[in-house]
Amino acid sequence: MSSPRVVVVDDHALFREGVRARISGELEVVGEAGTVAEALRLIRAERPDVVLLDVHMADGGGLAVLEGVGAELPDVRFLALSVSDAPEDVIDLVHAGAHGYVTKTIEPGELAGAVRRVAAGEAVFSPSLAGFVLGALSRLTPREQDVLRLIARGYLYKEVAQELGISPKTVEHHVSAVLRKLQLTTRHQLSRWAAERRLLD
Amino acid sequence: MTRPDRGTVAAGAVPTAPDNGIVAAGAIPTTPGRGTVAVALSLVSVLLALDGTGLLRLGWGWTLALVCLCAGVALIATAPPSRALFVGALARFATTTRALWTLRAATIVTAPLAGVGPAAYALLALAQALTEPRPLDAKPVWRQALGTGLIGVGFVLASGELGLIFPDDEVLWPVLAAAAGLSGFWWLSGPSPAARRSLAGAVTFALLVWGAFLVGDIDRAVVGGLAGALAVTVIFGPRWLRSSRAGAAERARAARADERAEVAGAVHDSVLQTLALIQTRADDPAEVRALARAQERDLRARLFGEADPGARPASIAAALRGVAPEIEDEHRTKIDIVTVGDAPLDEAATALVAAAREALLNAVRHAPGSPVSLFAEVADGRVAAYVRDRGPGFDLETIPEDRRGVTDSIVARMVRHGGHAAVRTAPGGGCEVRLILERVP
Repeated sequence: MSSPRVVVVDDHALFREGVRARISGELEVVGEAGTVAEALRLIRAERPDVVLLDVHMADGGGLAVLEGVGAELPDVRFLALSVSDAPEDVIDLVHAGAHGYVTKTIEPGELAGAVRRVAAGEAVFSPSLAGFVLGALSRLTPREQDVLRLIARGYLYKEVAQELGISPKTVEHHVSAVLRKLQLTTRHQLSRWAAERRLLD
Repeated sequence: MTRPDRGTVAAGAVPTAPDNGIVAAGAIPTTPGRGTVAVALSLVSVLLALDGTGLLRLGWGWTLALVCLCAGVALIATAPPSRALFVGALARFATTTRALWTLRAATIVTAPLAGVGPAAYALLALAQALTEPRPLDAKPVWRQALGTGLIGVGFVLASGELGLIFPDDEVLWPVLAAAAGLSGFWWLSGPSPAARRSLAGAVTFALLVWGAFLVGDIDRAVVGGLAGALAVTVIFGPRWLRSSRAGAAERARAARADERAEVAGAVHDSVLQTLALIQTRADDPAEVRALARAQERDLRARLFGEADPGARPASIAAALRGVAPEIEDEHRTKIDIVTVGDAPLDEAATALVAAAREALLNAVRHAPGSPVSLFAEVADGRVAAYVRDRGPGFDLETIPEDRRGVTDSIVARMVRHGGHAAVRTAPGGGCEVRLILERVP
């Protein structure tokens, strides 16, 4: 497989440089954008495989970018990057079609791996997003819960597969199913479920 | 057309508002003169002296009228010249000087006739205030306003002595008071929505009172009292309004300043200090990473209220999150914590938190530099915590003595509180400590 082509969108130049330095050995970074308008132009011109998207930007953030080109370019996949550990922040992006979410403190090797997985059409959950979904989404099958629990514990997909005695493809299948459920759930429902869970404990 | 002055007539301080036109002739071209004041005061004292000797029978009405007129002229003569004062709301309707003079004359001449002129002026001023409120920083010209009002009062008093008032004093004075109050309100109130609402209310009330007069259904004394009360309200209302608005603005400014100072202080104490430390330790990557991590945690706590470092944790999740910082600081590493669900912190849970702390310490000691994560789930009366590192791992059969001691202490602690613990590891496969507490709901 050829190297996925990546566009980095973040309003901090330093961070863009940092990301480029971290992943350019393994991936092809075809452009950087610091504003929503720049990002829209760049993505339309370059048609990258994956867009690394900052959640919090001064002029509308990742959500504006996703809403701008998400429907128009279905082949471009988006991986949300957030400085915040609060997964509630990225629920809107997941709803808008992002394929995954990782925090900015992710290890360099893991970031490149996450981009590759998103490029291959898989969903990427950070441990904290997995933990949040586990607590907030009530329509999970027991198997999906098992998978999410292991991801929240810091297991890589292949380790999850090994632990549960299933194939990595099946793990991907479960995670993608959870992502779809998450996209179909409103923010309101999520927070209500989360609140009910907490009340029950 | 020039922008009409908003500091006109006003007469906010005295209970009448005959139009300013009356003073225009004397005051516009002259510079403030002490001579004028001297002449006016001398005139008053001569008249009063004549009255006192019985040579001239002035009576209280004339005396008061003369005093008012002279005091008004004196006040205006010594005030800084302000052309704007003599334009007022009328300028809007008179584009030539001649038309302006005609309107001024009409206003003052009709003042004794049930206060028609001043009342009309007041309504014009109010209409203007509602459509184009004057800027807040327009300064009231007190002397001109007071002087104008006194001259108006003098004129009406003189008219009364000459028997030119219609229908009678009881009607005229409340109307003049209301007119003065309303134009004063317009003069003092700024463009805030609250001021406009009060203004509209005052106008409605004044119109009702006025209407009652015209219909003659209500006892005049009662209406006169009401109008007087209204006049007082509208005279002092705007001042109160303005000062309370100024007070609110002042408080908001102070709060903003406090917040800025607090943020600046926090930035200085933490961020700048950390940056300075990082510069001096640039050759020690582990130290720099630890400093940055500690700073990040501190800022997060400030910005997102994620944690209150001083507070005693009351829940299992909060207690587990509270464990990480000290280990991170001490061992220059990073611990990812994910929690699902939560419950109050009881004795058994406290033991689990302590065990988790041991496990985390264990992980950072034996797997330096590798990511360490803690996952905890509280659900259905069960607490499960997993501490995982991606270090070298080890063979359980050949674990070193010191490590066995720690794991034993973890296991023993959990068992004492009705739970259990397990260690799973393999050479090269990292290590995971599982802590389980089955709780009776």
